[in-house]
Amino acid sequence: MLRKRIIPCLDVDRGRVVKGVRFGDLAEMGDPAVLAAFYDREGADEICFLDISATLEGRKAMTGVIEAVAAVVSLPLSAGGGVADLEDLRSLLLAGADKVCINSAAVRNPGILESASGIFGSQCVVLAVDAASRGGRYEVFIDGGRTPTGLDPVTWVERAVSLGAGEILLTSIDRDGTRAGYDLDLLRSVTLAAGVPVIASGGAGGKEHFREALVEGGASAALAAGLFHGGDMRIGDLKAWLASACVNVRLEEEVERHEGWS
Amino acid sequence: MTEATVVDYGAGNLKSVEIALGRLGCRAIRAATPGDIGRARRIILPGVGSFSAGMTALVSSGMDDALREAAERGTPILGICLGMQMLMERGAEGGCSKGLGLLAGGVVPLIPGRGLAMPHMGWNSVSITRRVGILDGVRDGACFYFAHSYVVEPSDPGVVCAVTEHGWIFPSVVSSGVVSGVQFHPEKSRFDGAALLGGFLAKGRER
Repeated sequence: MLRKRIIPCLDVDRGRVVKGVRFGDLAEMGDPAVLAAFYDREGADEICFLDISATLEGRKAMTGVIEAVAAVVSLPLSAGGGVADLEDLRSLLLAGADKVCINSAAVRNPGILESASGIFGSQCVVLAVDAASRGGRYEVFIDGGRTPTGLDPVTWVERAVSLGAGEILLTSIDRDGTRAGYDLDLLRSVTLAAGVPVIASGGAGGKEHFREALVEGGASAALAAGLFHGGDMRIGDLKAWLASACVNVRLEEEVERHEGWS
Repeated sequence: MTEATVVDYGAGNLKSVEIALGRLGCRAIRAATPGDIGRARRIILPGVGSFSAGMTALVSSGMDDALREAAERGTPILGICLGMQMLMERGAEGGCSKGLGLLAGGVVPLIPGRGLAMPHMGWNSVSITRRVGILDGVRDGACFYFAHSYVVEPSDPGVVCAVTEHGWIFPSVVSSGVVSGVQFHPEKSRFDGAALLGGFLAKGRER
């Protein structure tokens, strides 16, 4: 059976990981390759890199980050943040990313999903959706949550999947950083409609939140950033707990058995 | 030094495969022409994207015939994901098109069961049904990374060496003579993936 995935997400600014990753000896390490190797050993099923560089020069460093990471870990990698066109997508894939997240560009030009999946295959086209509850209904926001689009997340996801998106990275703006749990209503509405795998994002604060998202929310994967980086939760512990709670995860023993390989 | 030729037909990321080979102490050589294929000692056919686009690229470069000739000469070939699917006679993705025909049978959509997401994306276990050379170092039940929506349907069930379940049970490893294919991505599957690639480099054939 397909395992539920746990995905740490690293924010990258001008080629360095930001937002402080704290882990014993790795205190405040900003080197993406070192951190990726760390999460690989922790039992991460995939690693997501989100470029938050505000400048074009900063963005260019992202392909270097992916190259450096792909050289040290043998795990699926996804990359996103500021992906504007097919060239951005191509350069990230060639650098070693397996999947690329498209957010604002897809809202502005949904055709990019069709061309991207036609050329590279749906399996590498991830639609990133940032949604928030406004006046009793959910709405999609772009430009890092600044610009409302008037789009309903479910309608938008259905359209994007029909155009070729192979996976959805769904972030609740309301829950992001709160540690109050994933927005299960939002998540359920999207997983029921999507048909493609949905990654839950925004709000993870405890192990139970992951179980809720993966079981009750119907998510294929759950993503978190600060919770893992701050050392508040270890991925190995989380997955062992999830397994004991009857969630089908790729178990840590399967990883430990081979320690010393890398 | 062990060498493996990785077929480059413009379908994207070869780097992960090359890096994975490098970790095993194997030199990866890129092939973009029939001549490159002709010189190969063993061949890896990677792949993402659609069946018809992949085959079009192989045919237009003449590498399709070169691959058939290499198989006839006894050069071990490992197809990965789309590369495995292209080993078959025909594929239904992007309109019915001809494959390499190194294994009899076709490629069909994986129809998901109720509530199962497609593409089949993520880590799934592989149950070994027949021990062959390339599976030498691989544990039964090991997890590998998958990302696909189509599966192979060999005419001869005897070529199947391992199966995986996602709604349906489908072949995840096939091997016949010098031709082998894996539906998952060994280059993205940590130790077990390395073990499989190592098995291919060491044995490269069914027995």
